[in-house]
Amino acid sequence: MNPYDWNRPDPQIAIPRAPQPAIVELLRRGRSAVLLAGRGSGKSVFLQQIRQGLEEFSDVRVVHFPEPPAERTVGACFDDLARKLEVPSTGALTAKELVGAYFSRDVPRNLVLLYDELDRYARSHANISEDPPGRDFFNSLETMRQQTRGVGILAASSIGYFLFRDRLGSSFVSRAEKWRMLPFDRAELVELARPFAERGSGFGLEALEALYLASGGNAALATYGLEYLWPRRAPTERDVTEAFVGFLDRNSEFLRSFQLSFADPKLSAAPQRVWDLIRQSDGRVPRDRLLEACGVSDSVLLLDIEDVLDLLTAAGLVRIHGSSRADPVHVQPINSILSLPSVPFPASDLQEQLRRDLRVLLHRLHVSSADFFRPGKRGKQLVPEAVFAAFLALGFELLGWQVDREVQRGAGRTDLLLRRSGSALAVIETKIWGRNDFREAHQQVASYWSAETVAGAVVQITDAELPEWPRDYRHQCLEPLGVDAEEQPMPDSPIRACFETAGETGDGMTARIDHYLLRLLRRP
Amino acid sequence: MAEPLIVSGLATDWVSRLAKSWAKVRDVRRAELEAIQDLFGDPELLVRRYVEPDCQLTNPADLHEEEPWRVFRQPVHEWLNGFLQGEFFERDGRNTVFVLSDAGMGKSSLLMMLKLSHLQRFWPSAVDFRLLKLGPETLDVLESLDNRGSTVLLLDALDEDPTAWGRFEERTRELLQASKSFRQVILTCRTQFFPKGGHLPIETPEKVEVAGFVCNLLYLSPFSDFQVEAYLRRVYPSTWSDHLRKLVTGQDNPRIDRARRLVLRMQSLRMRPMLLAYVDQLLEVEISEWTPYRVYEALIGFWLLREARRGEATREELWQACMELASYLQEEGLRLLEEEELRRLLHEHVADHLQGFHSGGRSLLNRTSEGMYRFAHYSIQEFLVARQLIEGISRGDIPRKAVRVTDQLLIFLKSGLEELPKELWESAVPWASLSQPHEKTTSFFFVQSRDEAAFLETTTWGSHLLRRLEEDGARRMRLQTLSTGCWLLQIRLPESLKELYGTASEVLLLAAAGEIRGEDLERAQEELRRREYDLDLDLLLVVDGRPNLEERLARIYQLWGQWVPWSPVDGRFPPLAEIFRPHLSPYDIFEEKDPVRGRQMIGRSALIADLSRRLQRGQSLGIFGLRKVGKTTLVRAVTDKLDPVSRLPMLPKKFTRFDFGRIAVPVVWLDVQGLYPRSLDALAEQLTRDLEHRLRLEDLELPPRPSGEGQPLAALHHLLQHALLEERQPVCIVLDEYDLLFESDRGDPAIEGIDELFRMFRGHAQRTDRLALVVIGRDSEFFDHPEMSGRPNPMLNWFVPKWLGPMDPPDADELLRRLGRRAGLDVGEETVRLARWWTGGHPLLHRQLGSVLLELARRHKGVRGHLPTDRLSEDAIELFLDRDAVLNICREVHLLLRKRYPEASYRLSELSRAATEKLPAALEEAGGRRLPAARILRKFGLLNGAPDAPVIPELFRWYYRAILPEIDRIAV
Repeated sequence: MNPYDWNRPDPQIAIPRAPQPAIVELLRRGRSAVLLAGRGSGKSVFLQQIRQGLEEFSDVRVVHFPEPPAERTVGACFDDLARKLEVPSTGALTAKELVGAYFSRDVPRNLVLLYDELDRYARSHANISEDPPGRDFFNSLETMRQQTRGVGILAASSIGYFLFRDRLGSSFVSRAEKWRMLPFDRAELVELARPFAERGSGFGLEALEALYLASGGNAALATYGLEYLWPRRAPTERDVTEAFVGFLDRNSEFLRSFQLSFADPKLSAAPQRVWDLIRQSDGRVPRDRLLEACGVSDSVLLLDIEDVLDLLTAAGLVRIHGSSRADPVHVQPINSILSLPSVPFPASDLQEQLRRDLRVLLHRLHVSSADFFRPGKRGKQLVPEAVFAAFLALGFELLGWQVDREVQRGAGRTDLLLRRSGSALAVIETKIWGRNDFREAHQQVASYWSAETVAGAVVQITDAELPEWPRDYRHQCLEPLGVDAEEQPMPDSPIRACFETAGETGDGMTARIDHYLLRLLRRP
Repeated sequence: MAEPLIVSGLATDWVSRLAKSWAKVRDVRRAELEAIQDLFGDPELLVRRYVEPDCQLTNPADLHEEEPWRVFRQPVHEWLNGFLQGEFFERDGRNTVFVLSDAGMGKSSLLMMLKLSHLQRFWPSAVDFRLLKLGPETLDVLESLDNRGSTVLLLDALDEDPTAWGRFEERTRELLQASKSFRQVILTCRTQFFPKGGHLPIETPEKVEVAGFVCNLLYLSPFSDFQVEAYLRRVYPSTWSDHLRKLVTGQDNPRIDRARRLVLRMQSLRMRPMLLAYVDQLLEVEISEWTPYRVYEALIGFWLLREARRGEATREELWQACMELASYLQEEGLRLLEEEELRRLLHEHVADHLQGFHSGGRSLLNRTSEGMYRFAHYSIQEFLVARQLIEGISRGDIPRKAVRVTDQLLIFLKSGLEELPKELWESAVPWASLSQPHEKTTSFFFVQSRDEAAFLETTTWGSHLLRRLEEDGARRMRLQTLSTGCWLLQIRLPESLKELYGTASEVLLLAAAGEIRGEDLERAQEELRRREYDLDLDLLLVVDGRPNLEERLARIYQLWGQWVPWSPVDGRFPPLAEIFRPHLSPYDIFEEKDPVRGRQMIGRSALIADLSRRLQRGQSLGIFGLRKVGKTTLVRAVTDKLDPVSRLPMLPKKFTRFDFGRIAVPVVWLDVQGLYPRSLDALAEQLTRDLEHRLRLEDLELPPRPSGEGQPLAALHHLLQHALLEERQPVCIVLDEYDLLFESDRGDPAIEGIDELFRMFRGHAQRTDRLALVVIGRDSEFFDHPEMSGRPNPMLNWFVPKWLGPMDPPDADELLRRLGRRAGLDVGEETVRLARWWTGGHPLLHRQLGSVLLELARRHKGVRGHLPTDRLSEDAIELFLDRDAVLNICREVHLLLRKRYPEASYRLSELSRAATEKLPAALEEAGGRRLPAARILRKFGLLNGAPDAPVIPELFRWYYRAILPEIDRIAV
């Protein structure tokens, strides 16, 4: 039976998350906290874990409110609280009275209230201009907390947190400690995939890396991927790509709610603008540009740089290196199907289209270099070539290409065989400089060439500092084959060098193969 | 410059001149004399009988009292004339004299007489004499006094001031600091309570160094026989027939003769004016042996016999009652007892039918005009305590009291115990501590009580623990049973440890014979709040007899402070100093975003004293300022003091108001933001409920609720009317976040009819002067409008507005330093400077910076002692700016200004972008400090510093420059 179900809030496998002990500690002290989290980040599961963590202590009762009451009014919220505490709500004017009535009975001396979906308390059913229940209700809760010993409150929220802060002036969020939900890291993903190992069919390293890159550590996406892959005996990175291709088309509601969880245009355009800016940057964003992107005059919310970066971080979209106050800010998009570009650059022909899209993807790859290193025996090392190929495959899919992996062509199997429409094909070979048959790349692409093939590309990747890499590349990989290569200028691009070649294949066809040299940085 | 006193002073015959003009003084200065009588006793009787004592520069105890002539002595007025006529420009202690003597030697009387000489205008009219009994309120009172350069302070009984017990040096420093700007200061104190101090060289034996001040030292001499005779003559003045008899027969006034015979038997006790004052009573009793114990027993027995004649109680019942009262006062460190409390104690311990005591004149108890009772002399209280202990011991029933021992109490105890068979008390009473207490002046004598006996019997490690405490110089102040097998020990820490970790003087230790449980910890916390708010609220020592205490504590649910597990190692407890360091620093004592209470409140003491006085006078106040600047904390500090009941978040199920000590002003506190729905009815209903709840504790019979239209407001009105009629003290209502009554953050209008509520409040306040309203909010805007809800604003010119800005630099520094010591940090000069620069003294920001320092300090493993913070400061700022709490304050400031004071928001943004050195010019260019926007910024503490050196806290400058989007900066 498949142990994964990405739609269930109470999964069979729950991974302990980093802030759990600290939040439990905070609630033990009778404080309040808000958990800022994007859609699919696993916050509901996390609340369950917090609950379990708290219930390990004797003398504490945890009351969980997974969603607001159907009738979204303050009175209904009070009734909801009273019902859960099993006290009469009639006549109570404040949360303090309700909780006082609760404590007057023979009950555990400590109480923790867990509220999920805080955003929904901040909005009425119709629109944000109506009076939502959140302000008065949570203010009442906060007053009660301050005046009653032994009560902790945790609420999980996304952008609605700022609605409480900026529009409703909530004293609850004012004093609550803010925590951000971060995406799974590799170790947590390995833990999540443990059932594969336990059933005896391991999850391949490449597949795991591909899953990490496709999901970006988003708990819902990762669970989705594993659920999809469970029927496979030994999933590969190709299976991972296959799992996520078309996910967004099939789950547009997920995408929409994910988008709204960090960038609701009704509330503020700033997060989207900053997100776009970060995606287009090289991982270093000048502070002035961020300030400019935040300065949106027609916003309901008054978000500053830190707020927006908080939102994007909690959504699992970006990773900040160093201080967010640096200039430029070192911030990179986290690779996933949620962050990869989905709109191709229009071009006149397939070859041109390939060049443009590939350069966009290589740019993204470079910006999020850190995701392509994994811990090795001698420090961080690059992930295997197959993972790069999987990343590119997914990227091309999202840009509207149809991608085949490891298709038998001529003497071997192509890394990527691409087509857009019609029968025209493109071939891409990915190599890591210095590893395996990196010198053979041009020859391999040429050997896959057929009558339908109109464009080819070789992507060479390294993490080493090679002062004369273009010269060495030409010397070692092109000249021995007698390939005539013309280096193209790549201004404002992280691509170290690009060689355009045109030569005859063994079959007498003209193969136009571009060579891209890309260096990835261990640290941004 | 102070007016010289050279032209006036005390003449040789000043006492008789005062007596002659008494009638005039009494008529003209009635109110002042009543105040003196309340605190010190009957001034009329004093003037009639007063014999001026002599004084000397050496301790009379160094010579035998039987040979007082062997020391050089002079009439005290001569020395005082010289002292009071001097002018002191140096404020190093030379304007202060400590007047010392044993109990009952006339210290208080001397101060009273000086005050009376002032009332009689023996001194220039521009010079004032203020007579105060020293106590916890003294600093507040001194703070409130004006015209200091022309005021002579007469401060009585340092030994009776509870805040000096166990912290003489610290208390004296506080008093000397607070009084240094006064013209002259005369402080009295029992000799035994006064430490040796740092005597100056032999050339100046009359000086003493105390707390860094070099002060004068003067001893009152015991009465000479001549003075005893003079006193008797005042008690028994001769009539014309006595004079005639003397002329004819040579025989003196027979009453004097009788008294002379009595005082001869009194031996050295006759040198004490206090006992001489009771000579007529002593003449009527039989005293077999003239020991202090027997003399007091006879004297008090005489009074009680007279009291018993009223028929309400037997003499024995009255003895019991008096001893209970005295023990209670001694245990609580009090001198005054409220009438209600007196009745409660009588009711609880003695007899239902005993309503009270006769008071006044030469009675056992004196009653003040405020209805408070005290024993006529402190030594009477001490005697009664000693008698109760001795009686218990003689019955083999050791009393359950932990009492504070004074020198006089020891004298009584020793002389009383010596009359008992030794075997009765030898095993129970630590005789050594009676003979040689650790510190005579402050020691606490802990008779082994039933609780202690049970503690020692039940726990195998109890005696080790007590021994360790003793070895560490800590003292047990109280041991009480919390529940079966669980005890609370109140401990006074040694000064060194207290200083090192910035703790309160006394801490609580929770000890359990078995495993400690969560409910024990909770009850300990309740006890902390209920009993002694000046205990260390955040610190609890925990001891139990099971292994892995630390791990078990970590598993108990609610943490509320620094819990220090203290487990024996190989049967011995490690020293306190060893366990404090590792266990105090893991708890982040800085990290507190909610309003703080008790000792966590640091600074603003003058403001607290001021607000406290105003509320007790029934004034209404508005406390305004930015969010989280400490408004609620400030008002809580005031109301916690005025009404200890309001300290508890929820009242325990069984209690009486007497569990909480003195309640000056019952307080009802309503946080408006917790109210729902936002309506007048809901507000009035909630206030009514809270007020009813609170007044029930005052044993007030509540009126029935009115019915019909507008019921909640009418109910509140009737309740207030009733309460203000029944209660003698003011009633205080606090409305926190009051702004929300007038405008929600979303811009909703004022609650309909809200003006009715305030109109009603004002009506009650004007009629009774006893309704004190406190509103807490961002600003006074809603009370400044001429109108409220279209009618004249009832709040206009009624309440006193107070704007709360950041803390003053010394307070801000102290906050970091004190909490730092507590967490194992040595907060240095550079750190406090940097903290002030960045936060401007905002308390929560200061705490956040402290929290960051602690976070950094934890990375330094293996540091012995306190870690100096100066080297961490620069790194701390980076982490500080990363804190959400820090950014949130910036955002809240920005949002408030943007919404309500856009001009101020714009100015702050502009000024923040100016370089620091160009800020004065930029401010001037913008219109200067008097510009309305600048005034707003100053009120909120966002623009500080001197007029020519304005300062914006660096944090806000940074926020406006680096974080805020451009669009927000320019929006006006």
